Amino acid sequence: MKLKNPITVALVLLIALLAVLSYWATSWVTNDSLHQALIKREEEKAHAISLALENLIAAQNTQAQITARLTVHRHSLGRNLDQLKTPDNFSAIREILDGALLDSSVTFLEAIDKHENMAYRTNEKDEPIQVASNWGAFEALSGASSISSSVEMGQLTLRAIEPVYHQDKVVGVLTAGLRITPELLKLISKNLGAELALFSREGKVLAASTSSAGVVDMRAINEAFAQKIPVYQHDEIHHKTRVYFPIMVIDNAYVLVVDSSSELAFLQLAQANQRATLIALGIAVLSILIGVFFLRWILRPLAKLRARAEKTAFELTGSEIPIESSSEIGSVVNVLDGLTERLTIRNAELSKAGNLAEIANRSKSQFIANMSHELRTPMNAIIGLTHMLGRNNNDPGQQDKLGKISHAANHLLQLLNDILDLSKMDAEQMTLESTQFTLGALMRHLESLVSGKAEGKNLKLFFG
Amino acid sequence: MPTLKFFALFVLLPFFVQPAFSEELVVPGSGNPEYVLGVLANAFNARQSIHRVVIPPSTGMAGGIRDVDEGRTTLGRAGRPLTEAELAKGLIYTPLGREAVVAVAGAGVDVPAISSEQLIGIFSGKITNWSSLGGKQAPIRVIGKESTDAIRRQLSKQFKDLVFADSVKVVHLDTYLIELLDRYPTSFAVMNLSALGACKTKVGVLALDGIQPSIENIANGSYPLVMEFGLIYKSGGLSPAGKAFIDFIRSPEGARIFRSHGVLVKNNG
Repeated sequence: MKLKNPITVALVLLIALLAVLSYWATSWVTNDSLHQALIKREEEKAHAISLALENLIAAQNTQAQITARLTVHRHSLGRNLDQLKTPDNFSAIREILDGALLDSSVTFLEAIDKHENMAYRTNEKDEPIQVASNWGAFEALSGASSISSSVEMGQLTLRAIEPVYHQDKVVGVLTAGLRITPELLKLISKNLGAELALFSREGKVLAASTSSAGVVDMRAINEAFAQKIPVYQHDEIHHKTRVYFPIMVIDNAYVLVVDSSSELAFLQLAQANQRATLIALGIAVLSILIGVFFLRWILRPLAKLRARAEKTAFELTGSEIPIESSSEIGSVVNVLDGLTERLTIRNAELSKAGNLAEIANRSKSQFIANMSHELRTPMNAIIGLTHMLGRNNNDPGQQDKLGKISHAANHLLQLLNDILDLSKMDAEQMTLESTQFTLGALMRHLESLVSGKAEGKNLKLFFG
Repeated sequence: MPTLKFFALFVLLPFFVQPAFSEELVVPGSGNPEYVLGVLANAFNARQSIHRVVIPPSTGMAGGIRDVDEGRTTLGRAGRPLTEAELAKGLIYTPLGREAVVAVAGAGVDVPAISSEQLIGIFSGKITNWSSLGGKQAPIRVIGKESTDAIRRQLSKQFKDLVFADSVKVVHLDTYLIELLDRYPTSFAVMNLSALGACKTKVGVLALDGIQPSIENIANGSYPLVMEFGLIYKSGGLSPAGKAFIDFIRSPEGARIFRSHGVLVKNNG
């Protein structure tokens, strides 16, 4: 079997086509599912990051609250804030707050008197805020602790606001402020593998883990605020996902932008695709080889049949059958067709010869029947005359000879009758008759037929 | 042959019979009807044991629409009727009730009523202290909602020249609004009446232009600020639990719960 055999070529092409189709279908479905899964993973990752940031901010806030609560209990803060008349009071407050700042990780500390005037701020170079607009100060003067968030100095600022007591009276307010810095976002970014940026409602960057965070889609920010749900943007070319999360930090809404890259995942996907392609190719080649050998195994009896048919045809006609088809099955069909044709011709010839032989046989039978019939007439005459001679002759020697002639003539007549029976048999007109006969007479008749020859050879016959 | 038919019937029967499967139905979405639907869900869950309805914290109406549209749930909460664009997604809105949009003040405020002008003045930052409204000396901590919020839309529709000052803390979910109302005793906000039940402190309702936001005043049209809320689902996507829950809301028991929370029942259509 050669590869140029059309069946083999068709099989190879069919297997290759099926392999290509199945590979394409599998790749299409798998890639689409994986693509969606990767995007979903990016979205979930971004969501997890936003939760992580919210938790981190909550932890920072707790830290600010602890610092504020520890500071308000420092000795003499309440007394100095209550009196606040002499420079000594101010310097004492300054000393307490500066010392507390050094001992903590908050960004600043503020002391406000009972008239909501700023007594001291540790970072005096910072732009002053209007105390009246700062939520929590009035409430603290009423004895309530509170927390708030706001944008100060271009950064998200957390404030833990505590009332300051002196002699069981609220005499002022202490605020511990903590800013969400780019370093904090960089820390999360480094640990979670995504770039983060915190934006204000106006689209200003409050903190970012990368300098490239400034380029944002204001429409997406507005949509995130307006729709109150995350806005997802997928860069299908660079396999990057950007999610705009509306987040609430204590009492103000902001947008957290999370940039994550799926390049590595897509690279792994591409590598997996390459491996899958190679495996699919290997399977296709293996399938073709198995298919070809399997075909060869299936067609082996056919090849033997073809060889036998070719041999029979050659023996019948002395010539080979010309092969017109190049395929194995086609060539077998070709040979069998040729053999059938030749056998048909031969059968016709034999039939014709048979008919001629039949005719000849019938003519021969007719001739024999006629001859037998014609011979019976003289035989009857011989038998009749012999009988007449025997009746008027008293010579025992002649009587014996006439008797033998009569027996021989009757036997010959019987033979003629048998020949006539043979003709009837040829003509399928023979009928058997059941008649009584004398065995002794038959035996004597046989003796008379063969005794002469037996005597000539000095043989003696005994019939019991 | 009859045996074969019986066997086929036995095999195919489960495909045609719809047994009452138990279902946990999560209804996400708008924060406006969250509280009253939560009360209804508790009553529904107590009344029957086949289904369980869960009313999770607000994800906003957009969140509810997204969840229903993307098939994460079969029923969502809506703080307003759907827009044409939202209906084009194949979503169906079924109205449940109408209720007053009320001006509220934190537990530390003793002002009983305000006028429309004063409401505009508070939001625009012209009125900053309760003493200007006859109350105690205390700053007004104004809390607002996003411009797309159903209540904010209702406000803007009623008061064309309403502008929010920078001092207004704008929150995007009702949960945060209620949290701030509880945290700041001198706060001020506008919200739907039934959501007041979620407040932990004694947040007070202020009469608007001398009219109390009662069901009677909503019904006779004398109270100006009214909003409608309902449920959303995909066409043909209402589950047995969803249908049972809606039927319960529309039952006399559901109407009673609605009325006790200041909601006027609105029948579909």
